[in-house]
Amino acid sequence: MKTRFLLNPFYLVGRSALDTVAQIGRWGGLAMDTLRALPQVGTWGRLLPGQMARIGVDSVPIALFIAAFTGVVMALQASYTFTGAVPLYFVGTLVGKTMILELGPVLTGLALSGRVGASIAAELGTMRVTEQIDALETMAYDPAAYLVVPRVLAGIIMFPVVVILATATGIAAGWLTSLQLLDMSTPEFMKGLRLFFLPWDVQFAVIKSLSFGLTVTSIGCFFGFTTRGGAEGVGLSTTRAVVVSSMVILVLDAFWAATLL
Amino acid sequence: MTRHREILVGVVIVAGVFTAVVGTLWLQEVTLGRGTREVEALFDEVGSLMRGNPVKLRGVGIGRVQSIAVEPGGEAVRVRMRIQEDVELPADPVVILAPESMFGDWQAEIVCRTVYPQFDYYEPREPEVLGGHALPDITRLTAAADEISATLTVLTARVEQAFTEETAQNISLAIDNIQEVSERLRDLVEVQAGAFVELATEVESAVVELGGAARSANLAFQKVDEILGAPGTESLLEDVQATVFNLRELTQDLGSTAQGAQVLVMHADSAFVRLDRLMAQIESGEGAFGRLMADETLAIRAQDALRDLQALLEDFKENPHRYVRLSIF
Repeated sequence: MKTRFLLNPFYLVGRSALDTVAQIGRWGGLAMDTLRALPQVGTWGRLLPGQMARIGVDSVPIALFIAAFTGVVMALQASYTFTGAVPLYFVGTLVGKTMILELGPVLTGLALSGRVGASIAAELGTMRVTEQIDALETMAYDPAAYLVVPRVLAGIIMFPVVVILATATGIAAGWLTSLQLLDMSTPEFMKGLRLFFLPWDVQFAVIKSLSFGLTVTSIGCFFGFTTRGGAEGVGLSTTRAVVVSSMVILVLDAFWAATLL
Repeated sequence: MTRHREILVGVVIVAGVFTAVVGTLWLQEVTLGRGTREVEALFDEVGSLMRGNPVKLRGVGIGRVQSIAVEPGGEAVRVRMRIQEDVELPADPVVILAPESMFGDWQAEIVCRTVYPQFDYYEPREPEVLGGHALPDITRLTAAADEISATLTVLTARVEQAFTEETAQNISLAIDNIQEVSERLRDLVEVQAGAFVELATEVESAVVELGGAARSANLAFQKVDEILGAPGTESLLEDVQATVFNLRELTQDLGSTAQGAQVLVMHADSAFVRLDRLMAQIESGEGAFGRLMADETLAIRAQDALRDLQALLEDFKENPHRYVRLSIF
């Protein structure tokens, strides 16, 4: 009994590691199914616009709202930090660079992981526990082509669009804040905005948001597909989908910064 | 999926793509419809220049840095710049890389080489490539300033160590002395100036007098010329010549006489030499006279002998028979 108690931590670590590896394996299996389902354009093609609308268009308001206030706060905090030491036009530099490279993609990704990832996990989880996915399989429909591919492709296509719009909104909000609250002129803000701007920055943001779209949608689909039990299992899958996709977004953020910058 | 939703999706996608493309072009200050051209420059090093930094001509932005790459071999850095096509570069253009502000943003400025001839520009072999020079980075300037500051600190410490109150007093005293010396020098100069004026006046009068003398001499020479040119001068010259001849003979006679006198003088010299030697012997006490002169006792004895001799002579006179006996038989 005493020995079992002492070995308990090792057991927990081992169990968690094995579960994680098993989850990754199952996610890999689903990814393979998704790739195999890609040629079934007739199945997922007609579903894609609807998913793009749900994942992308419906997420635009929340993404713009977050980005706008982020831009305002960025401008105000930058001016607060720079006062007296650094020229005020660097507010434009800070707002532009930060919104394009980091806050635009990451904040939008995190927001959409909560909204889109949770939605997908809950929807597919409910379908799983109510055996709708099993029914699709019974009717010879490929669940991956019918449920996963349109969502993942919609995420990959719409995440960059939403991120670009959010970033532009954040910069515009920072510019308006600088004009109205910081006594800066438009040429000053533009000078700072253009100072260290590189086209690669936009490409970097697009690459990041593509990966975030893939991550959020695929993780949502995975946890929805692997839901067990009833309503409690759906809730657990939804929570896990949001938590894991948020963590993966932050890990990917660091990964892209380390590899592409 | 209604048609309205599909349109909305399309609008969002187009808006996103449009924002990305137009925003990028706008932030890059790309002017569509205006032609651009590429300019290359080579540098030893490029400081903190980055792709996208502005290219300026006379302070006006005319383009941006396109790429920065180290040349094969690593001896230079090639910078490609895209500038407006209609911009005319100055004669003998070079590119100077410098910080645009104090905060790390750099720029490439195209200038005429003669504007900053003191810089050591990279000299490219390709004729169409511009030479360039990068000014020191702000960090290097800061490092140099740090070094100067450290040197100044050391210098200040040494000055503080050396510049005591006593030093100050000495310096004050030295300044007073210098002032006094200056005043004296000024007085001396004034005096010397007066003397110089007097000297100049005297020189001037001397020059005037010399001028008068020269005029007199000139007149004298003229008179001599007149005399020499007058009739009877020839006989006068013959008389003078005869006189000179007589004088020469007289001189020769005097010379022979002088030779005889010279022999006489030589004999006299030898006699004097002998006399000197004799006197020296006498003074040194050699010989009878010398001893007589040098030895006082001898002199006294000689005196006594003379006195005895005198007494003997007197006695001989008085009593000759005592000393001389004449007997014939």
